Amino acid sequence: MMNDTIRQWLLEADVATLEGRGGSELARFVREDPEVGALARRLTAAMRQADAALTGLAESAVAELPLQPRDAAGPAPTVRPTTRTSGVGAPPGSAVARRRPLYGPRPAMAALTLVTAAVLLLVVRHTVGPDRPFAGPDAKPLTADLHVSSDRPFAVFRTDNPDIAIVWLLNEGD
Amino acid sequence: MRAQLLAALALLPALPLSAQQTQMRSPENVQLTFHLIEADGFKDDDPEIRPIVTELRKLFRFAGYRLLSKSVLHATANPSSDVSQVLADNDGRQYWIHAHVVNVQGDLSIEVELNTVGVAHDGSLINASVRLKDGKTVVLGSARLSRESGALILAVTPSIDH
Repeated sequence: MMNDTIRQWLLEADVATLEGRGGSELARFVREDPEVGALARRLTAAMRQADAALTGLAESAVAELPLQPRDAAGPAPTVRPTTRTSGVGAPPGSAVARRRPLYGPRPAMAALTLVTAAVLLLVVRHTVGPDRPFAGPDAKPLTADLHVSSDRPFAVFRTDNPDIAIVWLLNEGD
Repeated sequence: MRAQLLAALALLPALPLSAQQTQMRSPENVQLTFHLIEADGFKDDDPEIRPIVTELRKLFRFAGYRLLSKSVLHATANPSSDVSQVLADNDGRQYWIHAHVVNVQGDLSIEVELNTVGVAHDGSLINASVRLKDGKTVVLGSARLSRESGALILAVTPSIDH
């Protein structure tokens, strides 16, 4: 017997239940109903594939982070300072002046940034060092009402203060 | 008939605003408060940045934080605007902050860039775009001028002039 309620339960179930373990009603359905069991197995397989893909992505992201030390790089253009406090445009030569519009269609970049943020959040969560994040129980990832993009990988932390969010742009060694 | 008209007029303010009307009501003048913070072995407690430091301490193992400079810039979010300013810290270093502010569907979108003045480096120290609510603070970190220097952290708090 398969209906929308059972499908919804399956989508929200943990792996143990999807494998038919435990005494819940859904687990019993998984064990006893061939149709429910087949869908549960497909969901379990998909979850494992996604998990493996994310793990691989995290490892490759760590290996490929563009973290060249600033002071090891060659001569870089010096940004011309300005004391202007209003007006339109940026000083000649600045990164702002060269940048594309903020909210234009950048789906690929946005997707990459989101994936990178998600992956690096996992990485940062396990990083401990003298000046590195040690995201413990107080660290709650990714605020719902904050949108972030950057030219560097970053992690976003919601804090206990509802008015403060922390965006950590990752440097070499982070 | 007159009574019906009066009743209809009385209900007008309660009617939902169209997207265009919402845009017209969107805030225009925005005050951006920047706190440039250095993280290292500083022990002093600065009440100016205490709420930020309280949260940073829960996440990072820096021994302490100090306020290098505070700056308040005025911008317009509708229409969008660019504002910039040079800050100086007590050690004589100068920093350049640039912000592009725009109202996006009632939220404030701020593109922030932090650089040093007179010190060549590759790209910006901090360069990020954030979209957040009025009065919220986003803490952007970190950047280093050198391997030996403390980590620079820039906190941005936009507030709409009502």
